[in-house]
Amino acid sequence: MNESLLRSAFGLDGFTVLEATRLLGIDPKPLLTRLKQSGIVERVGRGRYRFRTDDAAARVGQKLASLALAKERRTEADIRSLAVTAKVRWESWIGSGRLVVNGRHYTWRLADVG
Amino acid sequence: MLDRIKRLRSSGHDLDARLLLAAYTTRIANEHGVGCILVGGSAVDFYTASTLESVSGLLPGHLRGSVDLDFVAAATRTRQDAARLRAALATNGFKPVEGVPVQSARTWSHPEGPGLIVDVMPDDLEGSVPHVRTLTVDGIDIQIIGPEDLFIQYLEAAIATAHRHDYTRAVALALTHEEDMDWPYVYDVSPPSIPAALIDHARHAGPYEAALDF
Repeated sequence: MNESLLRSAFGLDGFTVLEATRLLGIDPKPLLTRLKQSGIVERVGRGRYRFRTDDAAARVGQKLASLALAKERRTEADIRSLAVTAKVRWESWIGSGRLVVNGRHYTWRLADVG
Repeated sequence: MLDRIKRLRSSGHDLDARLLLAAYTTRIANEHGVGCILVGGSAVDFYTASTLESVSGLLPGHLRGSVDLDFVAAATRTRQDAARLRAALATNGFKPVEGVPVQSARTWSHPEGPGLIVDVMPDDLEGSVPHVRTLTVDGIDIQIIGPEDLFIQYLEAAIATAHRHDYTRAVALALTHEEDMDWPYVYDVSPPSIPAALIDHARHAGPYEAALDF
């Protein structure tokens, strides 16, 4: 579950331990250690990780994520993480300039199609 | 503007196309002295636009996009206002899809438009006017039903009709707007068919099958 959250939130971008902590709401180091030992993530700097892009690692990660989703019952922490993930993406729209939020007033910038 | 809506749609920007059509419809309504509020699936799609690519794998079902625009008239929210909105659409080239008289036609399309349907609902706004948000698209202010009322409507529909898709929409709204929704309002006005425990369940993206047992 937590691995799939990291994938959803950060994709192939790198992420720091602090960012992973904020996303998951727990200490991510045990998870990161396991993912690193499995070859799913790699360390790319001081306290910074990213998911490996080769197919084998992707397949392993996908399998583990689906197993986790199938077996794990969702906990309160998982739910908070889900909400955080959704909010991260909502804010990414804001960051992209497509969406401006001012209280209860939204402004949507249309895609440029000429 | 219709050409631009068509270009947006044909280039894969379906949500953009629908939002610009909503702006176009709102402008026509306002020019005729009628207010209108965007409700329904396209409103959900706006509020959950980010959810599609982020937590879709974790939702209780597949989050499909809407294919039409649903409006309720808003000036005084009476059937007469809905009729005035329909008349305004007819004046601006929209045609009733069903071939029924203008005054009672619910489903509209523009022959030169992108093939999208505009529904003028016969009902009042099912929700709270103070919770209506404003969405500015291309300089035009669209009134859009609040996510709180959409959450209640889709959760209620999911239980009443046992449609997983409606439940998925409710969960997606909750996840995306967990922090800015007026949750006390949601708990306060939800009908008896939606007890607080069920709201909690949906807020926590609980399994769909279990939601039917409340």
